[in-house]
Amino acid sequence: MVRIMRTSARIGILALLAVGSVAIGIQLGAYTFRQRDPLAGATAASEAGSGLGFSNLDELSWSQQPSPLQTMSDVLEMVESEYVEKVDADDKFAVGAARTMLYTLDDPRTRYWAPDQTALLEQQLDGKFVGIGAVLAVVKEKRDEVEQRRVCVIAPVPGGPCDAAGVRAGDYITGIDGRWVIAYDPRLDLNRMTLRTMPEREYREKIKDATKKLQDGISWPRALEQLTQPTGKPLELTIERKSAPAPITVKVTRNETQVAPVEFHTVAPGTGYLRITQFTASAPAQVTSALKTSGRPARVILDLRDNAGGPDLAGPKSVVSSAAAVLSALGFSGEFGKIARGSSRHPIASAAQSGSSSGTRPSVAVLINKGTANIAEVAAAYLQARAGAKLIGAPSQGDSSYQKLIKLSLGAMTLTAGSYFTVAGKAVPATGLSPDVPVATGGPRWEKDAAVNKALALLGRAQGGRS
Amino acid sequence: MSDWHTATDPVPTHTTNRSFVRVAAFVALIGLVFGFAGPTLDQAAARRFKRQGTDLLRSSLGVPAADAQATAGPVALTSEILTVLKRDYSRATIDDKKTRELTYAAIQGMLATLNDPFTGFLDPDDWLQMQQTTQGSFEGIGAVLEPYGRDVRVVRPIPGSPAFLVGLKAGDIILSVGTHDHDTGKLIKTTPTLGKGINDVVKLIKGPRGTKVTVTVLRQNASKPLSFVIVRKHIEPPVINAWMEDTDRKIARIVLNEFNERADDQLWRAWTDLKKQGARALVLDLRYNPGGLLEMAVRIGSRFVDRGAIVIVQEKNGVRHTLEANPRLPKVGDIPVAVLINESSASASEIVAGAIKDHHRGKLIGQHTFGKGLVQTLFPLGDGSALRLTTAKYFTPSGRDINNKYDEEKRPIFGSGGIMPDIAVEQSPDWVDQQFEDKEHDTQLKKALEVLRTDLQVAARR
Repeated sequence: MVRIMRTSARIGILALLAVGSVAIGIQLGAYTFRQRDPLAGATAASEAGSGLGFSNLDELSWSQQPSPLQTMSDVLEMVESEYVEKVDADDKFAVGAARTMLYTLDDPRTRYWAPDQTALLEQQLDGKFVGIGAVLAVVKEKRDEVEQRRVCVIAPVPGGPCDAAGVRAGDYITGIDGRWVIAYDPRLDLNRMTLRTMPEREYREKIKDATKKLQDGISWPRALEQLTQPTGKPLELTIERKSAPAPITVKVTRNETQVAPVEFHTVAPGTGYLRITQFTASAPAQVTSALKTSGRPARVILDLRDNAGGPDLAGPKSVVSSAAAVLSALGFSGEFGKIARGSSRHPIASAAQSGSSSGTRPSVAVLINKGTANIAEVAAAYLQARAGAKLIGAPSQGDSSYQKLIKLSLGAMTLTAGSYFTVAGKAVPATGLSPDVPVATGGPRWEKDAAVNKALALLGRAQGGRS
Repeated sequence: MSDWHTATDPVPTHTTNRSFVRVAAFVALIGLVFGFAGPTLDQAAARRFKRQGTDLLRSSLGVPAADAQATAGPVALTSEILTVLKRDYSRATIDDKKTRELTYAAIQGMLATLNDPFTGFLDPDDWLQMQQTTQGSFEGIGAVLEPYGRDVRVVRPIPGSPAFLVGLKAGDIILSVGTHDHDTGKLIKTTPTLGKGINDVVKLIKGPRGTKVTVTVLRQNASKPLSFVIVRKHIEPPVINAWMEDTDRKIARIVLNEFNERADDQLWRAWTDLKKQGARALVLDLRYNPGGLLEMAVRIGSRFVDRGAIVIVQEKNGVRHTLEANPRLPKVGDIPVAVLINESSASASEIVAGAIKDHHRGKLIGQHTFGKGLVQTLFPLGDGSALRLTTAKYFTPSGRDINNKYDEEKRPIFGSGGIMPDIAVEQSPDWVDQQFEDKEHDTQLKKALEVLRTDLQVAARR
C-alpha cells in the first residue's frame, strides 16, 4: 500500500512524539485523546512539508500573524474542502458563528437574531407580538453569592395570551411544559453547597433535583422558538413569582396579538386617560390626534404600565425618537434624559411641536408598575421631575440598559450600547422608580382601576387647589 | 442506582435513564481514531501556503482580509458584528484580544453546527499546552479526566500515581481545585470548576512536582464533597498491563489502555514475555479503550490477522482505501483469543475488534462498543491555533459502518452503531468500575476465561 508506506516513513518523527503523547492522553483523558493523536499527524505533516521547502516560505508568510478573521476564513475553507460530509451551510455556519460569539460577552441583552427571529422582532416594533405575547429578557440575578440567569417577563402584552393567563411583569418563566428552561445552571447551586454542610438526605435530594433539571431541560434558544410560535397547543408555563411561595403553573395559548400602542379615553370632564403601551413609530401621531380630537384635556393620566421600552433601531422606528415625540405631543420639549456611554453623556431631547406651547401643557399623573421599563422609565422620571407629575402605582422595572438593534446582512443583533440616565443626571436606579403614591396595581386598564381612580382624585384635587 | 451513574454503567440503566446515559456517553467517550490521511494533510498545507501568499499581497495593498471576502457568509457576518461591537458596545472595550476571543468563539459556533462532536477548534493556548506536554511524561497528579456535562470527572486514577494513592476514584466529579503557594504550600485560592472546560481544569491541576494541589470532588455515595490535598509527581503512565491470568492453563491477559505510538511495541513485548512463560491463549482487554492512532490499530490488528483488510477508510470523495494487515509483522499465531469489549471501547478499539471478528480470529465478549467510525485530521493554522476535523469514515473489513447515528441534539443514538459482541455479557454491578484487578466481580472476564478454557480443551482433543 502506497498509503501505508507514506505514513510509515514518518514513524521516526512520530516515535519522538509518542512518549509525550501518552502523557497528555492519560492526563487529559478521553477528551484529548483525540487532540493528541492528530498532533502527531499534524507535526508529521509539516515536517514532511519542510522537505518540499515549504517551511521557509512558511516563515516568510507567517512573520505577521494572520488576523483572527483570516483564521476563520482558513477554517471555513478547510471544512468546505476536507470535511467528510458535503458541507452546504453558509447560513447555518453564519448563524452559529454569530450566536456563539455574542454569548462569550456574557451579556444576555447582547445577542444575535437569526433571520426568522429578526422578522418577529421587527413585527414587535410595530406592535405585533407572536406567541405568548410578552416582552421577555434573560436577566442576571445574584442569589446567595451565585450569579444566575433567569427568563424574566418584562411586561405581558396588554390583551395578549400571557396577560389573559394572569402572567405579570416581573414573573420568571422557569419551565415550559414541565421542562426546565436552562437560562441558568442549577449545578451552580450545587457548587455553592459545597461551601456549607447540610443533612445528607437534603443534599442528595438537591443533587437529584439539579441533575434532573439539566437532563430534561430546554435550552433558551429552543425555548424562545416555542414561545414565539404563532400557533400550537397551549404551553404550560412554570412561573416563579416573588410574592408566591411556590412556583405556579399557567396555561398560555399562542397566537398573534396586535397591540394598539396608544389608547385614549375621556374619563372625566377635561381629564383624559392616555395609555402608551409601546413607543412605536406611529405612537406620537396617534397621541397628537387623540389629544386634538378630545379637545386638549387639561389633565392627562398617562398610563405607562407594562410599557417595556425596547431596543432602539435607527430610523423612523427608533424607540427613543418615538418617546421624545410623544412627550413633545403632550407639550413637553427639550432634554428629557441622557444616554451614558463610558464617561460621555448624550442628551436625548424632544423638539417643540408646532401648535403646542407650554401654556397648553396638561397636568399629568403617570401610572407605573413593574412592567414600566427602559425608556418608559426615563420618560416617567422626566415628567415627575419637570412637569410635577406624580408617579402612581408600583415600583418600575429598573432597566437602564440602552440597547441598539442593528440589522446585519443576515439577521440582526441587539447590543448594550449605553445606559439611560434620567433628566436629573442619575442612572435609572436598578430598583426602579418609586411611586409617589403607591397603589397595588396590575396591568394597564382604565375602567374600575385603583391607580386610575387615585390619579383622578389627585389631578382633581390639584385642580381644585389651583382654582 | 442514582442519577449519577456513568456512561459505562451496565445496560439495564439505559431503560430508566436512557437519555442521560446517551448524553453522558456522548461527552465522555470521545474516543478516537486519528488518521494521518497522508495526502490530505499535505494538500491542505500546500493550499494554506498559497493562501498565505495571497494574504501578504492583500495586506500590502492595505485591504483587510475580511473585506476582501465575499459579502455573505460566516466570515463576513462575523466581521460585520465585530465592527458594530467596536463602534457601539458599551460594556467592554473590543480590543485586539477581545476581537480574537470573539472570533474564536465564532469559529467554534460555526463548527458546532456540523453536529459533529469530533470536530473542533483548538485555540493557541490549548494547542500550545498540548505541544508542551508532548515533550515527555508530565508532572501532575495522575488522574485521567473527561468532560462530564459542564463538569469534569475522573475516569480513573493511574495506579501508583498520587491521585491513586490519596484515594481519588473513578467517577468522582471535580467541584473545585485549590491552588497552593509553591513555596509555603499554603492554600491561596479555590477555583470552582463547573463550566470551566477540561483544558482549564487540567491547567489548574497540573504543576511542578513536589507542589500541592487541593482537589474537591463529589462522589456518588459520599454525603459531602471530599477534599484531597495531593502532592504532584512525575507521571509516566503505562499504556499496557499484562500478566498471566490463568497460570494453570496458561491464559494470558493484555489490557490495552489506548492506541498510542507505543502501544504495539509494548503489546508485542508483553506478549513475547508471556509466550516465554508458556502462554497458550490470550484475553485482549479493550474495555474502556477510547482509541488512538489509526496506524496503531492497523498494526495491532496485524498481530492477529495474517493478511487481508484490517479497516476500510473512505474519504470525502467516496474513494475507499483498504488498509491491509502487514504480512511481515510477527503474529500471535493460531491460538485462542478472546477480546473484551464494552460501551467505552471506541474508535481504534473498534477497528481491532472488528478486524478480529470479521477474520474469525477470536471471540468478542462483553458489550456493544461505542460506535465511532470517523477519522479526524488535525490542521495547524497560521496563528497558532488548530482545527480538528473529521475527514474520513471507516468500515470494518466486511464493509460495516459502525458509526453511531446522532439525534438532532447531537446525542449519539445508543445502539445505532458499534460492534456487537459474539457473546454478550453484562458486567456485574459489583465490579469496581475500571478496576481490571477486580477479577472476582468481573463477569465478562470470567466468561472470556471460560470460553478460552473450552477452546483449549477442544484444541487439545484434536
